[in-house]
Amino acid sequence: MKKLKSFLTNPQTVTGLVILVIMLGLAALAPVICPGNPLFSVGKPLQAPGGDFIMGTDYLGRDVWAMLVWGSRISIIFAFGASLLSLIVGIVLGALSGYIGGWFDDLMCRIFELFYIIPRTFLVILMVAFFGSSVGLMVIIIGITIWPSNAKIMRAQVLTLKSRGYVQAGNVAGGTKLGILFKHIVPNGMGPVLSNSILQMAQAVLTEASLSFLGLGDPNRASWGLILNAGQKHINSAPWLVIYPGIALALLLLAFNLIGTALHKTLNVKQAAME
Amino acid sequence: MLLEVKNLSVDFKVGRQTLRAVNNVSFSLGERDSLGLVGESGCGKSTTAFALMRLLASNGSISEGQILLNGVDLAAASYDEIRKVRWKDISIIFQNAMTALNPVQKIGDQIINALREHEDVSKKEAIERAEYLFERVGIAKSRLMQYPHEFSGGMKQRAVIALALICSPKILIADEPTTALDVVAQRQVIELLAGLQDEFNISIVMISHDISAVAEACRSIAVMYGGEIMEQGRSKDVLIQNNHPYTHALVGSFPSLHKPLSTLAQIPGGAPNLADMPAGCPFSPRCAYAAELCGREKPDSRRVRLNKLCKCHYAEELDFNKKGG
Amino acid sequence: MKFGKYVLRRLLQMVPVILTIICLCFLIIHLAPGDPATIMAGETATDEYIAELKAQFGLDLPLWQQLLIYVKNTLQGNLGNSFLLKLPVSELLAEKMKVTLALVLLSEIIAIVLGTLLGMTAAKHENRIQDHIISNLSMVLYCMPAFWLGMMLMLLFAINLKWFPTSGMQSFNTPLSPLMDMLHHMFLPCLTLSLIRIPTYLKLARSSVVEVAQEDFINTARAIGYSERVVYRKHALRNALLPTVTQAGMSLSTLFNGALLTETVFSWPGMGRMVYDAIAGRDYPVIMGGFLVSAIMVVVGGFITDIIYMYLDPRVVAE
Repeated sequence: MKKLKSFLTNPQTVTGLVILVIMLGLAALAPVICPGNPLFSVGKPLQAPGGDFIMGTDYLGRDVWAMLVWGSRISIIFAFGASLLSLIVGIVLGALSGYIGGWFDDLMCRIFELFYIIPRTFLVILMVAFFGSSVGLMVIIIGITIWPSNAKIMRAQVLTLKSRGYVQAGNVAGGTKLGILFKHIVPNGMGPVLSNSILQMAQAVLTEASLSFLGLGDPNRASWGLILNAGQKHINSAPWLVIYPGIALALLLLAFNLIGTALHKTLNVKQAAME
Repeated sequence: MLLEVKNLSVDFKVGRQTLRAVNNVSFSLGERDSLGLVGESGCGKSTTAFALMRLLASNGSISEGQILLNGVDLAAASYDEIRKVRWKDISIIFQNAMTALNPVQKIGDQIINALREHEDVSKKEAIERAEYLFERVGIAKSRLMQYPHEFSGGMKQRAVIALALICSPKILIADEPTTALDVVAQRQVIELLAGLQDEFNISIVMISHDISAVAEACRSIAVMYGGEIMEQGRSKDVLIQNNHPYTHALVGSFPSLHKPLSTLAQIPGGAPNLADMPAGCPFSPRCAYAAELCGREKPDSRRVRLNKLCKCHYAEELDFNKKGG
Repeated sequence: MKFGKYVLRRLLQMVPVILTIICLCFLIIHLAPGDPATIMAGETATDEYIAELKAQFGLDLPLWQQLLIYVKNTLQGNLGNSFLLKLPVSELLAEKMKVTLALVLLSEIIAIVLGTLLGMTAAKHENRIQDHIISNLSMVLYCMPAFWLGMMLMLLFAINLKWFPTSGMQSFNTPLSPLMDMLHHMFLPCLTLSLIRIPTYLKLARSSVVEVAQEDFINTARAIGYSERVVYRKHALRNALLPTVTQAGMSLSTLFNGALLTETVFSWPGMGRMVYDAIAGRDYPVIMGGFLVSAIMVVVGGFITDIIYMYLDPRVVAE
């Protein structure tokens, strides 16, 4: 409890949470703040910020502020969707790897190493290029490329906890092996995995923005990367197109990193695989 | 006198508090002399020794007193002066020989560099001297240019001794030189140090919590508690004819070949909290013989025998002579 | 001899890893919706070319034979042809890889040097004002998306101040010598990549210097009478640098990710920019080749790192 209090009151966490709450608010209230489809043209192209459009318009005359507000939804969806998927896959495979051991563990460790070697953005690009760029598919693709660090942490946790007698205690209480693993061992080893997951949210958001920036995103949905992609072509004449969504993106990344790092320190986790 | 420490006090700043880790300590050391600093952990014995070389952590400082090495006050010396004294005049064997050597540098290079830092000798001569010392401490000279990880624990301890002697210092501080070793190796190291003392004409300051081991190796002993010297004098006088209840308890807490095991006594309680020292005698809360006076008034150090000083109100009455031995 | 054995063992370890990466590429091609031949040849390919590819890669044979042929072809450097540029992918990559490596390695070296120096400064003043300033700035930098930072730098230094060109690697009609001209073009992309990589090394150097400073052999070095400079440079630094070397080896994959985005922003004609162009044109052999080559470079980089580490830390070989 004391730890929780020190985590919640330290300035890093507070800053991170404030930014995150604002972003969540924007995402949730997007239809209220900016009614209508943000991808519809509403003004003259490339209008500078001011007047009707506080963040100006893009080359098709779309309101940058509206796209930014609606774009926060995409970022939030990726942050939570991809990291949740990574969390589930990572916990299950990591826990089994540490618990079963033997050839399965060897195989998993090889896979962790492989993921460390492969340039992740390239792999994601490859898969998105082949399989398509709908939001759901991209969430899955990002999720399945970032799970190994969660699994690695969970595996280490299980190995430590296994030696500490949780297993014996569970055996006495009478339960199946898998029951013991997921009811007794895994919940006790969740802390470091959760703090890593928060850092992974930043990774997921960044990867989505990078893909959209490279032109691999879903062109039918407003996202920060999409504005940046268009903005790059007009950086000479319309710098506001790259400035505002970039700030939003950097702030959201900062929020996840601040919260994740603070949680990391609170739980006193040693440097995890943060890439 | 080679080394005279007069009224030395060391303070540490911890947060807003200033803690006195060493309080008004005085002792002296002659040529080829040996002194043992004894006490439980946290009693200030290592801090006293580190202060001699001005190796205190950045939040620690010598607040009072003098450290006179051949009449020169090291407590007042500049940083550059003290750097010249280190290793050349006073060297030290740290507590943990396993980690005292740089893991990524050859041991021979570490020894030679230390020598060449202080003396203008050719590389060839430096190697010869290092090889001589290696053989003297019992390591084949062919292993000089190996890395620490290639040495066993006992060999590392010997290599550390060779490193400490390379500049032929006048004084060698040995901080718990035997703690990490098994009983046989302990004896070998003590004997080695005694032999080296004769050959190199060095004076030794040995720090240990094991009073009987120190009594065998050193001519005199100072027993420390809560940063103060409680009893000091010739080894035999302190060990056998102890006048201070703390010394007595300390002697009792170690097994000895001369005593049956049943008399082995543990001292109740732990080392005192420097932030919250008792008003009177620092040992009084744990002392089996404490009276009302002990908790109220600090005893002064006074001569209780020809060769011994003691800091206890009842030193004369408490003679453990007959019970001990 | 111990060293030779170690190097050999490490070389052999690379073989299964590289084979696995090739198999992974094969897997992706065959899992992707659509005909593998079309994926490899491009949607606009002629029937003759598709027939040629089918023969070359045995696309009518059973899957396991296809795999063997694919591995063999890849190992021989046959990565197919780019259907946009009508050139063998391997030739294109060899050309572009040099340009990318020049940018990436220079940036990484700058990041390592600056990051380590700043990290050491922070460690020396642990928990004091200097440390807080450095660590917080580092955190902010860590959160910057590479491509956005690149665009901001471009906006400021190239578009507004006009100190540097906005894109490319060379300009016509320049008074500068070819090398100076290239460095002039390289400055901004290099600055971008260095800046985003500094926090990683800063954090690492800070924590490892703090850790090493508490080691017993540092006390020994002080007791010997070495000056603080020697204590730090000769005894602390080399030990503190060990994790940095490991990190440098491991972050090669991150580097290629960064290069892809930074090259895109600055039109730096390297592998990343080529892959970006390939994405737009759905030029699959090029994307695939870029992925494959960068993954293999990471493996080789890891090997080189281990050899350097072996020289820095004699304990490795003993294990």
